Amino acid sequence: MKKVDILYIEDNPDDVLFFERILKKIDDSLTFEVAGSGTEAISMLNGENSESIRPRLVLVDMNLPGLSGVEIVRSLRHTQSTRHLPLVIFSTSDSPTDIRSSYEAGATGYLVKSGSYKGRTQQLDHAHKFWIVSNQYF
Amino acid sequence: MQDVDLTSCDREPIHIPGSIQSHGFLVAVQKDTYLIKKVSSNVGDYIGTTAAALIDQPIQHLDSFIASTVPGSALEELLNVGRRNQSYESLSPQQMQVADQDMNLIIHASGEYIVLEFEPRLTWMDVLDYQKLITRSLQEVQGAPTLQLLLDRAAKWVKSITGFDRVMVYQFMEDWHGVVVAEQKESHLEAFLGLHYPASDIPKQARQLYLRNLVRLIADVSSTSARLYPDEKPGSDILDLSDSVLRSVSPIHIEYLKNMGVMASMSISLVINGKLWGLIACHHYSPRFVDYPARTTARFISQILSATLEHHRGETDSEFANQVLSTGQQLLIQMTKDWDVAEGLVGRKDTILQLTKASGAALVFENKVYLLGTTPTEEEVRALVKWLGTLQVDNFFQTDHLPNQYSPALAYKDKASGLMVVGLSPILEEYVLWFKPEQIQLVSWAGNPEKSVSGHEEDGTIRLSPRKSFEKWTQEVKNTSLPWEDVEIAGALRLREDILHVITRKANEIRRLNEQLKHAYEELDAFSYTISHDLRTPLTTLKSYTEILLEDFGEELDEEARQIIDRILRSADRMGLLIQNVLGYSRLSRSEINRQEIPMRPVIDTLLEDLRVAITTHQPSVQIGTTPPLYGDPTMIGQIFANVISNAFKYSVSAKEPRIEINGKVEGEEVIYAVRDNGIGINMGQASKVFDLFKRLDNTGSIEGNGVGMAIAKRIVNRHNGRIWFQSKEGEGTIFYVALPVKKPAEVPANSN
Repeated sequence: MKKVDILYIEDNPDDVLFFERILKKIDDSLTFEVAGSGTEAISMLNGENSESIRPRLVLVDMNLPGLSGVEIVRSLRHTQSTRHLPLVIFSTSDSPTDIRSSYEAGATGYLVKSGSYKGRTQQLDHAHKFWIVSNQYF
Repeated sequence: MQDVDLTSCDREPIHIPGSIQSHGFLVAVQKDTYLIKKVSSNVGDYIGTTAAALIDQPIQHLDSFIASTVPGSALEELLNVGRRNQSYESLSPQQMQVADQDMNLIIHASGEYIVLEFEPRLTWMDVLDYQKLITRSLQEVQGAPTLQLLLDRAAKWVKSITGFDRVMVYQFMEDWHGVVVAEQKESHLEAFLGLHYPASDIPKQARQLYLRNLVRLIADVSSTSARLYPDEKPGSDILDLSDSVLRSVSPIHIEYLKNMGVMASMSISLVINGKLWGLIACHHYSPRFVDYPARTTARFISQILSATLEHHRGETDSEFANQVLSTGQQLLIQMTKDWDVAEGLVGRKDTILQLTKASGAALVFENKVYLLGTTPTEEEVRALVKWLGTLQVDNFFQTDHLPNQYSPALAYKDKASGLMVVGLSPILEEYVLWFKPEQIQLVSWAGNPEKSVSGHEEDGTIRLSPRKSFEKWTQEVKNTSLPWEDVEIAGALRLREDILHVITRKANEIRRLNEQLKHAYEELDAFSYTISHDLRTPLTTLKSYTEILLEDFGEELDEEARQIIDRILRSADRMGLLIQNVLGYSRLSRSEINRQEIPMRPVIDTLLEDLRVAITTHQPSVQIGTTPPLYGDPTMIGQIFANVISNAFKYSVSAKEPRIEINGKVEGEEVIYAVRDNGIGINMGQASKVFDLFKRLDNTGSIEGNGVGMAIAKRIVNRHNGRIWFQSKEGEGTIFYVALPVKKPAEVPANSN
């Protein structure tokens, strides 16, 4: 089992690039994996093709090819091995419907992606401080 | 002289006069025993016995005086045949030899009695002649091409069969007064054609009798009638003579005929659909008897006339009928063309005016009055419509003397003495009306109708006597129009059906278009939502890369490059805000309204705080008055105030001392908030643009905004069934008003559980 700090489920290469850049700036030592879809993420978590990964935080984009963010959350919550993971939706959508259905599916949090790089840097910094630095994990 | 009501005649019991005309005699036997119970007192004039001697004798007793022309058939056998057939009609007439006279015996049943009436038989025409006559008259009457010719021919044939000096077709009008509509007469006689006779000339009970008893003959008005023996007293066993052929005539009627100089008369009823249409009235100026076969033939011709009249009624004026039909069809086409009922009825080539012979027409529809031709004024029509409402005539009303029924119409009788109306929706007071002008008519009466009967006292009782003078008396009839013809009435009713049909279809069409529009609207909303959403992602990317450029490589760039990058960023921000607003706007129509009571002071305070942070160019002074709570969706109401107050904030920048006043108050069923600023103001010429999406006014160029805010505010207010409006003067400031309905006591908030 491979331990990583963050699993980021995101299909947009630009968003991935921003994420990598921001993370490096926050703390160069942070480890992360990126999955391009829900299916890929689930297979990584279950170690189907290689060693399974155990992240301390999962960030999930909402609009993805195949499973949507909400469906990924629901699916992970129904699986014994991933039921306990902190799952935070990270989406551009601020629609109340999306937010509510995310929590109903079992999301741990909901972050609306900031429209600016600065804003996003701040968000990820907060998330890092809370989930990685402050938050107790087993 | 006491006032004598014409209806006095209506009460005279003419069916039980207790006497008969003396040109024949009558014997009545009890229907089971055949014992003779009543005999006319003139029996001795015909046979060698007396009435008294016959009473209580068996019927056989009569056989000794009377011989049937069919040998061996005694009266008793005849009665038995009638009893077996349950009808004596088919037995009549029986040819009898009474003493040395040829007579016809006519038998009918009346209550407890069988009545045998003997009247003279004339031999001037035999049965074959009658049959030929009937065949020829049938051909001629039925072949008549016009109504007038039909009536004339019927009169001609009745005259030739009966030999009367004058034969008239007398038609009853609606009020039962009569008009002579056809006449055949001896050339030396004065014409009665076209004369009117008052209703009292033929009183009600006579008309009832005419329905039952189709032919009446008065052979000689000067002869004395023969009383029945024994004398009939009121309350005793009175013989009903309704169906009698010899029944004597009311003395008033005899006097009436005498005053006219008539010595003999006969009338035959014309009955259409069970209603007395008129009479064929025959007059003779000397006594005249017409025997049973001739009367039957005349009756037969009358029945043909009645049947033909019924047939003729619909097709009096086929050219006009065709015009009505084609106008009706054209009106329907016009109405369906663009589903505008009023335009189709009054605004095109054909109008409702052509549908009738009216000289004016009005359409009262959707609270508008449309007038065509010669009509009363709009106010008069509106008042008339109110009156129609009180009549409770739902679908149809017509009159040819409106001023007599509705006195305000006297003022415009020259335009509308005749009125025909079809109701479209009496509740909404929607009608189509047609008007005909007053037509002063000269009506010629046979004698003054107001003096049709006079009463004078005789032995302390009032005795009625008919008028003495039948001198032509001409009356001017006012307040009356030409009558509405059947074709016009049918056309109007047909139009009503068509209009209602179009209205129904129009309602369906509107509903369908509404559905389509709603669908298109939803699609547009979904489209704008999707496109805004999809635009946001690349915009964010664009902006983020620019930020990275500035942040991570800023030191490698010179000042000018950094400024350009800064401009890119600001444009991206503006676009981001715009997309955000459009998203919010389109989301409004789909999100649910979660109504609750909102304390407004905290909402306003928070908004102002945010604005003071965001806008640094100026700091207006803000006065907050009373802030009654609003009832609505907190997020949405927040958006309204955010937009209205931030506008006040932004646009007050021009004032020397920027000032904002916010004040709310409860007024009746709504709470009204006013937000006043002393800023640039709005040109009222552009007032209608304020709430349009993406519309910005001329003088706002330098102030940040994208033309979505007020559109959002308006949309929210609409969804809350409220109102938003403003007052403004350029350079002085603007007051925006937001009014929302108060919470209704009965209304339970959705989240109350």
